[in-house]
Amino acid sequence: MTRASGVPQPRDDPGGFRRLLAILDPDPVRAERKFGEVRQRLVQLLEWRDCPFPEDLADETLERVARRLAEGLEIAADDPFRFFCGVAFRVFKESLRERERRERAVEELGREPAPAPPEPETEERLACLRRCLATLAPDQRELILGYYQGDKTVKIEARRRLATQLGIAAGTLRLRALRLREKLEACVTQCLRERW
Amino acid sequence: MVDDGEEPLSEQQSIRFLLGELSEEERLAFEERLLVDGELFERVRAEERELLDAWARGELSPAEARRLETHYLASPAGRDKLGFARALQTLEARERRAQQRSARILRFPRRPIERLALAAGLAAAVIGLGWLLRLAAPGPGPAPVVASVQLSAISVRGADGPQIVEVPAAAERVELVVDLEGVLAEGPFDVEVRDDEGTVIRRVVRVAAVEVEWGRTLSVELAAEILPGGEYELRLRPSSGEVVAVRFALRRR
Repeated sequence: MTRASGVPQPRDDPGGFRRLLAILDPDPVRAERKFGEVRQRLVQLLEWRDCPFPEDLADETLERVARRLAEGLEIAADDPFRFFCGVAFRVFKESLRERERRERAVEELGREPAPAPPEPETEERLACLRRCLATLAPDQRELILGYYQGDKTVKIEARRRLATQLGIAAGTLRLRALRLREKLEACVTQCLRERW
Repeated sequence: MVDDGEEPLSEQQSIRFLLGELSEEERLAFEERLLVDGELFERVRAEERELLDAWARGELSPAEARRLETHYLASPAGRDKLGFARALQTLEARERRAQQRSARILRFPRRPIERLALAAGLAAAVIGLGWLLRLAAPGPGPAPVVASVQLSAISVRGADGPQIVEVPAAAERVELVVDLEGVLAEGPFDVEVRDDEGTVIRRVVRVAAVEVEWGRTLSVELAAEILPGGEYELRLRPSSGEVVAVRFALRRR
């Protein structure tokens, strides 16, 4: 897939892809945002399925959805977004089945699965975490460390205080903490790659 | 949470999903909901992090921990998430220990009334402050009075200013004890003490780190007269690895 504006586009079927976006939303900007959200969820679902290359498989899934729409698949639902997700999910299941077939074929050939790469030592990872924390603004650093510190009982009270202090709802705080944590996780992963 | 009239999903169901305990049919139904429902998706992702943190703190049952490890160690992204949770937990534990150690280590009093009391005590009896000062090995003359100050090699909370330490005026020698928490290099270290203009005022080579109860420390002792007060930088240079720079502000009382 080629990428433009962060949205993957099948090289051989731009028409189907345009139709796909139009299904998601008549407004192109909102359509791209919704597409990005569905792609992100597919990537995560595939990660949870232990897929080693979830982004590639998610893009492949969405390409196939676009192709089916280009082939004339009719939209038969009041909620186009839900319809799109339904089609994407069916293709997702097909992708899983194909992957399982490929893995079984490899096993039958008697090949050993590739060994997992060596894990960075804890101290290396800790050094990267410290470095990545230092890149955050002080208030972000305080939020992420304050949100995730402590055992269950300590955390409940700490989070309540944090939400009150920031003047936001608990759900909003949870989302902010999650976004910051994901940013840190990506930073640490990148830092470890550079060290190794 | 209810979605279009469907049964609300409990946290327990999310955990069973994340641990791979759902049947294939249950799992596919759950995944379909996650794809459609953005709020549910975010909630499960947040619950995933809580589960990983609980694992890192040892709060899961052995069976749950095994299931989680089997599941997450099977993919690079899963291994990264486990590693991050463990690193975050380790960081928190070390910070907590560092704070407990700081509470035990004498900090020179900041309030005027306390400084006055300390000055009176110093004037009265040097030996009575044995927990603050120690005597060097006896020599031909009276043993020098040594003040020991504690420094930390790495600050996590991003403090920009130097560490502030105080040394009594009566001290003849100053021992700088550096907590090497967070320093990867093994040592030995070449140590330089620099003034605020960057001039090296003391250099000691091949200083070994010492294992103590809570970690590792490194010590250098200098004549108090070369540290008259002001800002300094302590540089620890290992044979391989990053140079560690520790800034401190020393006050003489």
